[in-house]
Amino acid sequence: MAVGRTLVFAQGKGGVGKTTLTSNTAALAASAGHRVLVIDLDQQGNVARDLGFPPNSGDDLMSSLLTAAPLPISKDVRPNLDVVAGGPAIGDAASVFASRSARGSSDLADVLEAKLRPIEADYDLILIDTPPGDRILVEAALSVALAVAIPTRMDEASIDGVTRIAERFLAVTPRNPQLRLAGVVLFAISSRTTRLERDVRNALAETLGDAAPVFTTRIRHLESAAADARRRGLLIHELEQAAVADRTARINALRNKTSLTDGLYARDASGLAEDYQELTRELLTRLIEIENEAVVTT
Amino acid sequence: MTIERPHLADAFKPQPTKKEPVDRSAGLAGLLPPPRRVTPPAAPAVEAPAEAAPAAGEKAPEPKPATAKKPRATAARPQATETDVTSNVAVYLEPDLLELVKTARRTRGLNYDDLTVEAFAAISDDTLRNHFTQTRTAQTSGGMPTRVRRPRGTSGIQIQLRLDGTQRAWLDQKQEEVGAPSRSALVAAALRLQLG
Ligand SMILES: Nc1ncnc2c1ncn2[C@@H]1O[C@H](COP(=O)(O)OP(=O)(O)OP(=O)(O)O)[C@@H](O)[C@H]1O
Ligand SMILES: [Mg+2]
Repeated sequence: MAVGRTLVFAQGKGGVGKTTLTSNTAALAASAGHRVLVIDLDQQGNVARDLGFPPNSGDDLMSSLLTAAPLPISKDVRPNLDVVAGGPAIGDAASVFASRSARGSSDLADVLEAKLRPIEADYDLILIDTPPGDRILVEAALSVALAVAIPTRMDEASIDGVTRIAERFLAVTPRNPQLRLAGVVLFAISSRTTRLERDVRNALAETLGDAAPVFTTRIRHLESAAADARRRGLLIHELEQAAVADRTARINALRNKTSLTDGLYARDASGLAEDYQELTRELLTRLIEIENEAVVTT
Repeated sequence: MTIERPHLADAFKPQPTKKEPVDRSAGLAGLLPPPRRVTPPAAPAVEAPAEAAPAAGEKAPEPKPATAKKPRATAARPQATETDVTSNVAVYLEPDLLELVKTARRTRGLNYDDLTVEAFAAISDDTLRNHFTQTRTAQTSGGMPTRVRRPRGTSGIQIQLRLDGTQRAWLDQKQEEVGAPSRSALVAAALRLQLG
Protein backbone atom coordinates (compact mmCIF):
# COMPACT_ATOMS: atom_id res chain seq x y z
CA MET A 1 0.00 0.00 0.00
CA ALA A 2 1.11 3.53 -0.67
CA VAL A 3 2.71 5.30 2.25
CA GLY A 4 2.24 9.01 2.75
CA ARG A 5 2.80 11.11 -0.32
CA THR A 6 5.58 9.08 -1.84
CA LEU A 7 6.97 9.67 -5.29
CA VAL A 8 9.55 7.33 -6.79
CA PHE A 9 11.94 8.13 -9.61
CA ALA A 10 12.60 4.93 -11.53
CA GLN A 11 13.99 3.93 -14.92
CA GLY A 12 15.42 0.68 -16.16
CA LYS A 13 18.28 2.53 -17.85
CA GLY A 14 21.14 4.08 -15.90
CA GLY A 15 22.28 7.68 -16.09
CA VAL A 16 18.96 9.20 -17.11
CA GLY A 17 18.66 11.67 -14.24
CA LYS A 18 16.87 9.75 -11.47
CA THR A 19 19.21 10.95 -8.77
CA THR A 20 19.67 14.50 -10.01
CA LEU A 21 15.90 14.91 -10.29
CA THR A 22 15.31 13.41 -6.86
CA SER A 23 17.79 15.73 -5.16
CA ASN A 24 16.81 18.89 -6.97
CA THR A 25 13.04 18.55 -6.79
CA ALA A 26 13.31 17.53 -3.14
CA ALA A 27 15.41 20.54 -2.23
CA LEU A 28 13.22 22.96 -4.17
CA ALA A 29 10.07 21.64 -2.54
CA ALA A 30 11.77 21.87 0.85
CA SER A 31 12.92 25.43 0.18
CA ALA A 32 9.29 26.36 -0.39
CA GLY A 33 8.48 25.17 3.12
CA HIS A 34 7.32 21.62 2.48
CA ARG A 35 8.70 18.95 4.77
CA VAL A 36 10.56 16.54 2.53
CA LEU A 37 12.25 13.19 3.05
CA VAL A 38 14.56 11.68 0.44
CA ILE A 39 15.38 8.00 0.57
CA ASP A 40 18.33 6.81 -1.47
CA LEU A 41 17.87 3.12 -2.28
CA ASP A 42 20.88 3.03 -4.56
CA GLN A 43 24.20 1.46 -3.67
CA GLN A 44 25.93 4.24 -5.58
CA GLY A 45 24.74 6.63 -2.88
CA ASN A 46 24.77 9.59 -5.25
CA VAL A 47 22.16 11.56 -3.38
CA ALA A 48 24.82 12.30 -0.76
CA ARG A 49 27.08 13.64 -3.48
CA ASP A 50 24.36 15.89 -4.88
CA LEU A 51 23.61 17.30 -1.46
CA GLY A 52 27.24 17.74 -0.55
CA PHE A 53 27.74 15.35 2.30
CA PRO A 54 30.34 12.57 2.53
CA PRO A 55 29.68 9.20 0.90
CA ASN A 56 27.76 6.83 3.10
CA SER A 57 28.44 3.11 3.52
CA GLY A 58 24.73 2.33 3.45
CA ASP A 59 25.30 0.14 6.51
CA ASP A 60 22.83 2.05 8.67
CA LEU A 61 20.07 1.80 6.11
CA MET A 62 20.77 -1.87 5.50
CA SER A 63 20.79 -2.73 9.17
CA SER A 64 17.61 -0.76 9.71
CA LEU A 65 15.98 -2.89 7.02
CA LEU A 66 17.19 -6.06 8.71
CA THR A 67 16.39 -5.16 12.30
CA ALA A 68 13.81 -3.29 14.32
CA ALA A 69 15.86 -0.09 14.12
CA PRO A 70 14.10 2.92 12.60
CA LEU A 71 15.32 4.34 9.31
CA PRO A 72 18.57 6.31 9.75
CA ILE A 73 17.29 9.79 8.98
CA SER A 74 19.77 12.66 8.66
CA LYS A 75 17.73 15.66 9.67
CA ASP A 76 17.78 19.03 8.01
CA VAL A 77 20.56 18.53 5.47
CA ARG A 78 18.88 21.63 4.09
CA PRO A 79 16.07 23.43 5.89
CA ASN A 80 13.06 21.08 5.78
CA LEU A 81 14.98 18.38 3.98
CA ASP A 82 15.77 15.07 5.64
CA VAL A 83 17.66 12.23 4.00
CA VAL A 84 18.10 8.50 4.40
CA ALA A 85 21.44 7.88 2.75
CA GLY A 86 22.11 4.91 0.51
CA GLY A 87 25.47 3.32 -0.16
CA PRO A 88 27.30 0.10 -1.06
CA ALA A 89 25.69 -2.03 1.66
CA ILE A 90 22.30 -1.64 -0.04
CA GLY A 91 23.71 -3.67 -2.91
CA ASP A 92 23.21 -6.74 -0.72
CA ALA A 93 19.54 -6.05 -0.10
CA ALA A 94 18.36 -7.90 -3.18
CA SER A 95 20.05 -11.19 -2.37
CA VAL A 96 19.36 -11.02 1.36
CA PHE A 97 15.69 -10.34 0.86
CA ALA A 98 15.33 -12.82 -1.97
CA SER A 99 16.42 -15.63 0.33
CA ARG A 100 14.38 -14.23 3.19
CA SER A 101 11.14 -14.17 1.32
CA ALA A 102 11.92 -17.65 -0.01
CA ARG A 103 11.88 -18.68 3.63
CA GLY A 104 8.54 -17.02 4.04
CA SER A 105 9.58 -14.03 6.09
CA SER A 106 8.57 -10.55 5.14
CA ASP A 107 9.96 -9.19 1.91
CA LEU A 108 11.67 -5.86 1.33
CA ALA A 109 8.46 -4.11 0.32
CA ASP A 110 6.79 -5.11 3.61
CA VAL A 111 9.79 -3.96 5.58
CA LEU A 112 9.98 -0.62 3.80
CA GLU A 113 6.29 -0.03 4.35
CA ALA A 114 6.61 -0.86 8.04
CA LYS A 115 9.54 1.52 8.44
CA LEU A 116 7.81 4.38 6.66
CA ARG A 117 4.34 4.07 8.14
CA PRO A 118 5.23 5.58 11.53
CA ILE A 119 6.87 8.64 9.95
CA GLU A 120 4.57 9.27 6.98
CA ALA A 121 2.74 12.07 8.79
CA ASP A 122 6.02 13.90 9.40
CA TYR A 123 6.43 14.70 5.73
CA ASP A 124 4.53 16.54 3.04
CA LEU A 125 6.53 14.67 0.44
CA ILE A 126 8.68 11.55 0.37
CA LEU A 127 10.92 11.00 -2.65
CA ILE A 128 12.71 7.73 -3.34
CA ASP A 129 15.68 7.42 -5.65
CA THR A 130 16.12 3.93 -7.07
CA PRO A 131 19.00 2.07 -8.71
CA PRO A 132 18.84 1.43 -12.45
CA GLY A 133 18.61 -2.33 -12.51
CA ASP A 134 17.73 -3.89 -9.22
CA ARG A 135 14.30 -5.48 -9.51
CA ILE A 136 13.73 -6.10 -5.82
CA LEU A 137 14.69 -2.61 -4.71
CA VAL A 138 12.70 -0.91 -7.46
CA GLU A 139 9.62 -3.01 -6.79
CA ALA A 140 9.87 -2.35 -3.06
CA ALA A 141 9.96 1.39 -3.74
CA LEU A 142 6.98 1.14 -6.08
CA SER A 143 5.10 -0.88 -3.46
CA VAL A 144 5.03 2.07 -1.09
CA ALA A 145 4.57 4.81 -3.69
CA LEU A 146 1.63 6.89 -4.68
CA ALA A 147 3.27 7.66 -7.99
CA VAL A 148 6.31 6.96 -10.12
CA ALA A 149 8.01 9.45 -12.40
CA ILE A 150 10.16 8.10 -15.21
CA PRO A 151 13.02 10.22 -16.48
CA THR A 152 14.45 9.56 -19.88
CA ARG A 153 16.99 10.91 -22.29
CA MET A 154 16.11 10.79 -25.94
CA ASP A 155 18.17 7.81 -27.07
CA GLU A 156 16.47 4.55 -27.98
CA ALA A 157 17.92 2.66 -25.03
CA SER A 158 16.53 5.16 -22.54
CA ILE A 159 13.15 5.14 -24.20
CA ASP A 160 13.15 1.34 -24.01
CA GLY A 161 13.82 1.76 -20.30
CA VAL A 162 10.47 3.49 -19.96
CA THR A 163 8.69 0.34 -21.05
CA ARG A 164 10.75 -1.75 -18.67
CA ILE A 165 9.41 0.29 -15.77
CA ALA A 166 5.93 -0.37 -17.07
CA GLU A 167 6.59 -4.07 -16.42
CA ARG A 168 7.71 -3.38 -12.86
CA PHE A 169 4.65 -1.24 -12.47
CA LEU A 170 2.33 -4.08 -13.43
CA ALA A 171 4.13 -6.47 -11.12
CA VAL A 172 3.49 -4.19 -8.18
CA THR A 173 -0.10 -3.08 -8.72
CA PRO A 174 -1.67 -6.16 -7.07
CA ARG A 175 -0.08 -5.21 -3.77
CA ASN A 176 -0.24 -1.46 -4.31
CA PRO A 177 -3.33 -0.67 -6.34
CA GLN A 178 -2.92 3.04 -5.63
CA LEU A 179 0.28 3.34 -7.63
CA ARG A 180 -0.05 5.71 -10.58
CA LEU A 181 2.30 6.87 -13.25
CA ALA A 182 3.04 10.53 -12.60
CA GLY A 183 4.59 11.03 -15.99
CA VAL A 184 7.74 11.02 -18.04
CA VAL A 185 10.45 13.64 -17.63
CA LEU A 186 12.71 14.48 -20.54
CA PHE A 187 16.20 14.89 -19.14
CA ALA A 188 19.37 16.53 -20.49
CA ILE A 189 17.73 17.74 -23.66
CA SER A 190 19.74 19.84 -26.04
CA SER A 191 18.13 22.96 -27.46
CA ARG A 192 19.47 21.97 -30.86
CA THR A 193 17.25 18.92 -31.18
CA THR A 194 13.79 20.38 -31.28
CA ARG A 195 12.56 18.12 -34.05
CA LEU A 196 13.86 15.05 -32.29
CA GLU A 197 12.28 16.23 -29.06
CA ARG A 198 8.94 16.68 -30.78
CA ASP A 199 9.08 13.19 -32.25
CA VAL A 200 10.09 11.63 -28.96
CA ARG A 201 7.30 13.45 -27.17
CA ASN A 202 4.79 12.21 -29.69
CA ALA A 203 6.04 8.64 -29.50
CA LEU A 204 5.93 8.69 -25.71
CA ALA A 205 2.51 10.32 -25.64
CA GLU A 206 1.24 7.55 -27.85
CA THR A 207 2.70 4.87 -25.60
CA LEU A 208 1.35 6.48 -22.44
CA GLY A 209 -2.10 7.22 -23.80
CA ASP A 210 -4.16 9.01 -21.22
CA ALA A 211 -2.41 7.24 -18.34
CA ALA A 212 0.07 10.03 -17.77
CA PRO A 213 1.63 13.09 -19.33
CA VAL A 214 5.06 13.73 -20.71
CA PHE A 215 5.85 16.75 -18.56
CA THR A 216 5.95 19.99 -20.49
CA THR A 217 9.12 21.13 -18.76
CA ARG A 218 12.22 19.33 -19.89
CA ILE A 219 15.56 19.54 -18.15
CA ARG A 220 17.98 21.16 -20.52
CA HIS A 221 21.36 19.70 -21.39
CA LEU A 222 24.04 21.54 -19.43
CA GLU A 223 26.90 19.27 -18.60
CA SER A 224 29.07 22.02 -17.16
CA ALA A 225 26.48 22.82 -14.51
CA ALA A 226 25.92 19.13 -13.77
CA ALA A 227 29.65 18.67 -13.22
CA ASP A 228 29.92 21.76 -11.01
CA ALA A 229 26.92 20.73 -8.98
CA ARG A 230 28.26 17.28 -8.10
CA ARG A 231 31.79 18.56 -7.58
CA ARG A 232 30.64 21.22 -5.17
CA GLY A 233 27.76 19.34 -3.57
CA LEU A 234 25.35 22.05 -4.64
CA LEU A 235 21.88 21.78 -6.04
CA ILE A 236 21.24 23.59 -9.28
CA HIS A 237 19.45 26.54 -7.70
CA GLU A 238 22.32 26.85 -5.24
CA LEU A 239 24.77 26.67 -8.09
CA GLU A 240 22.86 29.47 -9.78
CA GLN A 241 23.76 31.71 -6.85
CA ALA A 242 27.32 30.42 -6.74
CA ALA A 243 27.71 31.17 -10.44
CA VAL A 244 26.82 34.80 -9.82
CA ALA A 245 29.47 35.02 -7.11
CA ASP A 246 31.90 33.20 -9.37
CA ARG A 247 31.34 35.72 -12.14
CA THR A 248 32.15 38.53 -9.79
CA ALA A 249 35.29 36.70 -8.74
CA ARG A 250 36.24 36.21 -12.39
CA ILE A 251 35.78 39.86 -13.12
CA ASN A 252 37.82 40.85 -10.10
CA ALA A 253 40.53 38.37 -11.04
CA LEU A 254 40.59 39.90 -14.47
CA ARG A 255 40.87 43.42 -13.08
CA ASN A 256 43.59 42.45 -10.66
CA LYS A 257 45.33 40.32 -13.26
CA THR A 258 45.26 37.32 -10.97
CA SER A 259 44.09 33.92 -11.98
CA LEU A 260 41.13 32.06 -10.69
CA THR A 261 42.05 28.60 -9.44
CA ASP A 262 38.78 26.93 -8.59
CA GLY A 263 36.23 28.56 -10.83
CA LEU A 264 33.03 26.98 -12.02
CA TYR A 265 32.60 25.50 -15.45
CA ALA A 266 29.09 26.85 -15.69
CA ARG A 267 28.85 30.58 -16.18
CA ASP A 268 25.17 30.74 -15.70
CA ALA A 269 22.93 28.06 -14.28
CA SER A 270 19.79 30.14 -14.19
CA GLY A 271 18.10 28.53 -17.18
CA LEU A 272 18.64 25.09 -15.75
CA ALA A 273 17.53 26.25 -12.30
CA GLU A 274 14.38 27.57 -13.88
CA ASP A 275 13.76 24.19 -15.53
CA TYR A 276 13.93 22.50 -12.14
CA GLN A 277 11.65 25.08 -10.60
CA GLU A 278 9.05 24.61 -13.34
CA LEU A 279 9.34 20.85 -13.33
CA THR A 280 8.95 20.72 -9.56
CA ARG A 281 5.80 22.76 -9.91
CA GLU A 282 4.44 20.35 -12.50
CA LEU A 283 5.39 17.30 -10.47
CA LEU A 284 3.83 18.52 -7.24
CA THR A 285 0.67 19.57 -9.02
CA ARG A 286 0.42 16.19 -10.70
CA LEU A 287 1.02 14.41 -7.42
CA ILE A 288 -1.88 16.20 -5.76
CA GLU A 289 -4.05 15.41 -8.75
CA ILE A 290 -3.22 11.73 -8.27
CA GLU A 291 -3.81 11.93 -4.56
CA ASN A 292 -7.23 13.47 -5.05
CA GLU A 293 -8.19 10.78 -7.55
CA ALA A 294 -7.12 8.16 -5.06
CA VAL A 295 -9.36 9.66 -2.39
CA VAL A 296 -12.34 9.74 -4.69
CA THR A 297 -11.97 6.12 -5.72
CA THR A 298 -11.33 4.61 -2.31
CA MET B 1 35.00 19.50 -20.97
CA THR B 2 37.11 22.43 -22.02
CA ILE B 3 38.09 25.19 -19.71
CA GLU B 4 37.29 28.38 -21.51
CA ARG B 5 39.35 31.52 -21.42
CA PRO B 6 37.75 34.37 -19.57
CA HIS B 7 35.43 36.22 -21.88
CA LEU B 8 36.44 39.84 -21.87
CA ALA B 9 32.96 40.75 -23.00
CA ASP B 10 31.65 39.57 -19.66
CA ALA B 11 33.63 42.17 -17.82
CA PHE B 12 32.01 45.02 -19.66
CA LYS B 13 28.46 43.82 -19.54
CA PRO B 14 26.10 45.16 -16.90
CA GLN B 15 27.05 43.26 -13.83
CA PRO B 16 24.73 40.41 -13.01
CA THR B 17 25.48 40.66 -9.31
CA LYS B 18 23.22 43.64 -9.08
CA LYS B 19 20.35 41.40 -10.05
CA GLU B 20 18.13 40.29 -7.22
CA PRO B 21 18.77 36.63 -6.56
CA VAL B 22 15.92 34.64 -8.06
CA ASP B 23 13.78 32.85 -5.56
CA ARG B 24 13.43 29.39 -7.05
CA SER B 25 10.92 28.35 -4.43
CA ALA B 26 8.48 30.88 -5.87
CA GLY B 27 5.25 29.25 -6.89
CA LEU B 28 6.03 26.03 -5.03
CA ALA B 29 4.79 26.95 -1.60
CA GLY B 30 1.29 25.82 -0.82
CA LEU B 31 1.18 23.29 -3.65
CA LEU B 32 1.11 20.43 -1.20
CA PRO B 33 -1.70 20.52 1.32
CA PRO B 34 -0.97 18.86 4.65
CA PRO B 35 -0.60 15.15 4.00
CA ARG B 36 -3.61 13.03 4.62
CA ARG B 37 -3.83 9.34 4.80
CA VAL B 38 -4.73 8.03 1.43
CA THR B 39 -4.92 4.58 2.91
CA PRO B 40 -7.27 3.75 5.73
CA PRO B 41 -5.05 3.90 8.82
CA ALA B 42 -3.90 0.41 9.71
CA ALA B 43 -3.76 1.16 13.40
CA PRO B 44 -5.31 3.92 15.47
CA ALA B 45 -3.39 7.12 14.79
CA VAL B 46 -0.20 7.31 16.78
CA GLU B 47 0.03 10.00 19.40
CA ALA B 48 0.66 13.44 18.00
CA PRO B 49 4.29 13.94 18.98
CA ALA B 50 5.32 17.44 19.94
CA GLU B 51 2.04 19.18 19.56
CA ALA B 52 0.29 18.92 22.87
CA ALA B 53 3.46 18.57 24.81
CA PRO B 54 4.69 22.10 25.54
CA ALA B 55 2.16 22.42 28.32
CA ALA B 56 3.17 19.13 29.91
CA GLY B 57 4.45 19.58 33.42
CA GLU B 58 3.57 23.25 33.51
CA LYS B 59 0.55 25.25 34.30
CA ALA B 60 -1.61 25.45 31.25
CA PRO B 61 -0.76 28.65 29.41
CA GLU B 62 -3.65 31.05 29.13
CA PRO B 63 -4.22 30.80 25.42
CA LYS B 64 -4.30 33.96 23.39
CA PRO B 65 -7.73 34.76 22.01
CA ALA B 66 -6.51 34.22 18.47
CA THR B 67 -5.61 30.63 19.09
CA ALA B 68 -8.21 29.84 21.69
CA LYS B 69 -11.12 29.66 19.34
CA LYS B 70 -9.84 26.60 17.53
CA PRO B 71 -9.35 23.68 19.84
CA ARG B 72 -7.39 20.92 18.18
CA ALA B 73 -9.26 17.87 17.14
CA THR B 74 -7.77 14.99 19.02
CA ALA B 75 -8.60 11.92 17.01
CA ALA B 76 -9.10 12.63 13.33
CA ARG B 77 -7.99 15.76 11.61
CA PRO B 78 -10.74 16.49 9.14
CA GLN B 79 -9.60 19.90 7.91
CA ALA B 80 -6.40 21.78 8.34
CA THR B 81 -6.96 24.63 10.76
CA GLU B 82 -4.73 27.63 11.43
CA THR B 83 -3.14 25.84 14.32
CA ASP B 84 -2.49 22.76 12.24
CA VAL B 85 -0.22 24.54 9.87
CA THR B 86 3.27 23.48 10.67
CA SER B 87 6.02 25.81 9.71
CA ASN B 88 9.66 26.41 10.32
CA VAL B 89 10.94 28.39 13.22
CA ALA B 90 14.60 29.30 12.99
CA VAL B 91 16.59 29.17 16.19
CA TYR B 92 20.15 30.35 16.46
CA LEU B 93 22.43 28.41 18.76
CA GLU B 94 25.92 29.27 19.87
CA PRO B 95 28.36 26.63 18.65
CA ASP B 96 28.91 25.02 22.06
CA LEU B 97 25.18 24.77 22.65
CA LEU B 98 24.66 23.34 19.20
CA GLU B 99 27.15 20.61 20.10
CA LEU B 100 25.24 19.83 23.28
CA VAL B 101 21.97 19.69 21.40
CA LYS B 102 23.41 17.48 18.69
CA THR B 103 24.87 15.11 21.25
CA ALA B 104 21.54 14.88 23.05
CA ARG B 105 19.82 14.25 19.76
CA ARG B 106 22.23 11.50 18.83
CA THR B 107 22.46 9.75 22.15
CA ARG B 108 18.79 9.93 22.97
CA GLY B 109 17.32 9.62 19.52
CA LEU B 110 15.19 12.75 19.92
CA ASN B 111 14.82 15.45 17.31
CA TYR B 112 15.23 19.18 17.93
CA ASP B 113 11.52 19.66 18.41
CA ASP B 114 11.36 16.95 21.06
CA LEU B 115 14.35 18.39 22.88
CA THR B 116 12.78 21.83 22.89
CA VAL B 117 9.49 20.56 24.23
CA GLU B 118 11.34 18.63 26.89
CA ALA B 119 13.41 21.64 27.91
CA PHE B 120 10.33 23.81 28.37
CA ALA B 121 8.65 21.10 30.38
CA ALA B 122 11.62 20.89 32.73
CA ILE B 123 12.45 24.56 33.24
CA SER B 124 10.28 26.90 35.20
CA ASP B 125 9.22 30.33 34.05
CA ASP B 126 11.10 31.85 36.97
CA THR B 127 14.36 30.31 35.88
CA LEU B 128 13.81 31.64 32.39
CA ARG B 129 12.82 35.06 33.67
CA ASN B 130 15.97 35.20 35.83
CA HIS B 131 18.06 34.19 32.90
CA PHE B 132 16.84 37.09 30.80
CA THR B 133 16.97 39.67 33.60
CA GLN B 134 20.58 38.72 34.22
CA THR B 135 21.61 39.08 30.63
CA ARG B 136 19.97 42.49 30.51
CA THR B 137 21.47 43.86 33.75
CA ALA B 138 24.90 42.67 32.77
CA GLN B 139 24.64 44.98 29.80
CA THR B 140 23.21 48.02 31.53
CA SER B 141 25.13 47.98 34.82
CA GLY B 142 26.99 51.20 35.69
CA GLY B 143 30.72 51.66 36.12
CA MET B 144 33.10 50.05 33.80
CA PRO B 145 31.01 48.07 31.36
CA THR B 146 31.47 44.35 31.66
CA ARG B 147 32.54 42.56 28.54
CA VAL B 148 29.43 42.64 26.45
CA ARG B 149 28.01 39.18 26.11
CA ARG B 150 26.03 38.76 22.97
CA PRO B 151 22.47 38.19 24.04
CA ARG B 152 22.10 34.49 23.84
CA GLY B 153 20.23 33.09 20.95
CA THR B 154 20.64 36.02 18.62
CA SER B 155 23.74 34.76 16.92
CA GLY B 156 25.12 31.41 16.04
CA ILE B 157 24.18 28.54 13.84
CA GLN B 158 20.68 28.12 12.66
CA ILE B 159 18.57 25.08 13.35
CA GLN B 160 15.00 24.69 12.26
CA LEU B 161 12.15 23.62 14.46
CA ARG B 162 8.94 22.40 12.93
CA LEU B 163 6.18 23.90 15.01
CA ASP B 164 2.45 24.11 14.55
CA GLY B 165 0.36 27.18 15.21
CA THR B 166 -0.45 26.25 18.78
CA GLN B 167 3.21 25.77 19.57
CA ARG B 168 4.22 29.04 17.95
CA ALA B 169 1.53 30.96 19.81
CA TRP B 170 2.64 29.27 23.02
CA LEU B 171 6.21 30.36 22.42
CA ASP B 172 5.19 33.94 21.66
CA GLN B 173 3.28 34.12 24.88
CA LYS B 174 6.12 32.64 26.88
CA GLN B 175 8.52 35.08 25.27
CA GLU B 176 6.43 37.94 26.60
CA GLU B 177 6.01 36.37 30.02
CA VAL B 178 9.68 35.83 30.69
CA GLY B 179 10.97 38.88 28.86
CA ALA B 180 12.91 37.10 26.15
CA PRO B 181 14.12 39.33 23.29
CA SER B 182 13.00 36.86 20.62
CA ARG B 183 11.56 33.42 20.06
CA SER B 184 14.95 32.19 19.06
CA ALA B 185 16.56 33.56 22.21
CA LEU B 186 13.84 31.95 24.30
CA VAL B 187 14.34 28.49 22.79
CA ALA B 188 18.12 28.79 22.98
CA ALA B 189 17.89 29.76 26.65
CA ALA B 190 15.63 26.85 27.49
CA LEU B 191 17.96 24.43 25.72
CA ARG B 192 20.99 25.89 27.45
CA LEU B 193 19.42 25.73 30.90
CA GLN B 194 18.35 22.16 30.29
CA LEU B 195 21.46 20.80 28.61
CA GLY B 196 24.25 23.15 29.58
N1 LIG C 1 21.34 19.04 -17.21
C1 LIG C 1 22.22 18.07 -17.50
N2 LIG C 1 22.75 17.98 -18.72
C2 LIG C 1 23.62 17.00 -19.03
N3 LIG C 1 24.01 16.04 -18.16
C3 LIG C 1 23.53 16.08 -16.93
C4 LIG C 1 22.61 17.09 -16.53
N4 LIG C 1 22.30 16.87 -15.23
C5 LIG C 1 22.99 15.80 -14.83
N5 LIG C 1 23.73 15.30 -15.85
C6 LIG C 1 24.61 14.12 -15.81
O1 LIG C 1 23.86 12.99 -16.07
C7 LIG C 1 24.45 11.86 -15.43
C8 LIG C 1 23.41 10.99 -14.81
O2 LIG C 1 22.68 11.68 -13.85
P1 LIG C 1 22.07 10.91 -12.60
O3 LIG C 1 23.12 10.36 -11.73
O4 LIG C 1 21.07 11.82 -11.99
O5 LIG C 1 21.30 9.71 -13.32
P2 LIG C 1 20.73 8.38 -12.68
O6 LIG C 1 19.59 7.95 -13.51
O7 LIG C 1 20.48 8.56 -11.24
O8 LIG C 1 21.95 7.38 -12.85
P3 LIG C 1 22.09 5.92 -12.22
O9 LIG C 1 21.18 5.06 -13.01
O10 LIG C 1 23.52 5.58 -12.41
O11 LIG C 1 21.70 6.01 -10.79
C9 LIG C 1 25.44 12.42 -14.44
O12 LIG C 1 26.72 12.14 -14.93
C10 LIG C 1 25.20 13.88 -14.45
O13 LIG C 1 26.39 14.61 -14.30
MG1 LIG D 1 21.21 7.47 -9.58
